[in-house]
Amino acid sequence: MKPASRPAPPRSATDRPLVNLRHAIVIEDDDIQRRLARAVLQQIGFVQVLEASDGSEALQVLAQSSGTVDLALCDLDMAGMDGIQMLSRLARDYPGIAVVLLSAQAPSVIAAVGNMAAASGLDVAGTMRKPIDRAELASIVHTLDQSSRKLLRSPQPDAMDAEEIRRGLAAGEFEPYYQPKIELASGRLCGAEALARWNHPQHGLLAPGRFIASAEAAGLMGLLTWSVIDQSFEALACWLAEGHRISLSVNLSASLFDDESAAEALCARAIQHAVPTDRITLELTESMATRNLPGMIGGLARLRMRGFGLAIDDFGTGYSSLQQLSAIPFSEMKIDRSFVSGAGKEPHLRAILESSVQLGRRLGLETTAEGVETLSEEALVRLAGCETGQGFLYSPAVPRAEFTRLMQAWVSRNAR
Amino acid sequence: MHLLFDRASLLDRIDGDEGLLQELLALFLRVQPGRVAALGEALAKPDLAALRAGAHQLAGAFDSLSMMPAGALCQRIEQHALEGNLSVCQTLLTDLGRLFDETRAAVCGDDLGGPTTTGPAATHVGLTLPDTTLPDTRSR
Repeated sequence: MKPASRPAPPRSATDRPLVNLRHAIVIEDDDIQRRLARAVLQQIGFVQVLEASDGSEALQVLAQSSGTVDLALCDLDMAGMDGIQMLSRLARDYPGIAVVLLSAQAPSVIAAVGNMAAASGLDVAGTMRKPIDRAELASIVHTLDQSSRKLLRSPQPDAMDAEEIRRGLAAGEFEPYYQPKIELASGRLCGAEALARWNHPQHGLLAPGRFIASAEAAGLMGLLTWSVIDQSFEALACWLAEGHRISLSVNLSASLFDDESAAEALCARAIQHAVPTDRITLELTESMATRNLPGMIGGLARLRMRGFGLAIDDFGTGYSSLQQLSAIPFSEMKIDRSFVSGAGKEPHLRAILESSVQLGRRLGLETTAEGVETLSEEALVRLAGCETGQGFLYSPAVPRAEFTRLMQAWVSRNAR
Repeated sequence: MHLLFDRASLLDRIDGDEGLLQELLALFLRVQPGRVAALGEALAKPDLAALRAGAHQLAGAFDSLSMMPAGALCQRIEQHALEGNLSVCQTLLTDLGRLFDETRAAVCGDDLGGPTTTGPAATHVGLTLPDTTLPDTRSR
């Protein structure tokens, strides 16, 4: 098969400055490895990197840090309080901290601890085998920095407050950015995922980590979601009118379905903007779907009947995935980036990736690989049978005008 | 075959930061000799838990600094300590003392701009090993 042509990706996606993440802690009992890890995190872009030689010291350091730490890079096998004990304490006392597990243990052991940490409620951004590798860690960190999973985290100390969000909404400062989806067989840019951004007059461009949790807590997610929906539907209508054969994916908040008329309202919005519903896919995270509210299921079924696509997002990272696949009429499976980025090196992750794709195909779902960042990852997911890919290899999320230019550039390249 | 100290690999993993590389090597020269010696003390007691934990930590440090042969040897010591095979640990620790000296010489040679096996860096690290063959504790 002819390799897909594409506009040149950035020299390195991980050279970008971090948007959300600022403070990290390294928990490692070996001086040399701790020093190395701290330096690597600083190179990646963290403005402050704290250090601790075991779990007990880490908890003391975190207690003094006033809750500013975004990421913990954690060894598992340490003298004193080891990584497993410490992860339990982290989940209880600091659930908003994302963790990266780093160990010389077998991948299956690291993965098991990662599952335990996730089951405890921690956001496990990634697992790595020692020795530490800058490129691998940078990839995990940048993915986390951009990731929608961060939407589910607790409000951060630097999160914007509800009143400010309300003001920003009223002032029209929120806008969707668009990340392309690529059809792997042809290299065609076939879709866009709309991701909320806030053009704050003082703080600049803010990613969801700074406002989603506060908006959820203040009951503002409905307003925010409708704002993103209206703007992205309008953009889709323009792109379709210009002749781009493209679809749009939008992330949905569970709270949207607190209102029983949400499904009807979505249909009305599609009609209002003159966009065909079969060009729109609504993405649900597994954690959202686990709420399993009868009203939500009914609303989703109604949306499917009206032609909308439904995607299960971050597939493989939540619980009862299979149960949800059977309960909700999904049309697309988006395989979590953790299986894509690790599959090249870890046979068990590759097995999960391939099995997930196979499952999705047998269920008649379109399969999308998230977090495709390298050509080798693209080759791997294509070989596994994924139909579409999304990730920094193609482009990060960009504003509407830039996305329009990106589509045009893509068409020109593919026409050559 | 792995180099005793793969400078290029380490430099590659730290984004070419020469200053950091020098800092890490200085830390290595300061702390690793004591840790290698501590393994011998743990074996002499014998304290298998300390031996395993120490070997694990050393292996991680060696691997982090792209000193893969020494790292691999420490992993073998860790494994045999876990299995309670003290006699094998004793043999491997003797090998480690020798390998550590060679690795340290390679680091110092690198620091001076070329390989060397002479000078203080080549001095054998002080391992405290038991005089007699130790019993195999695997059946315990």
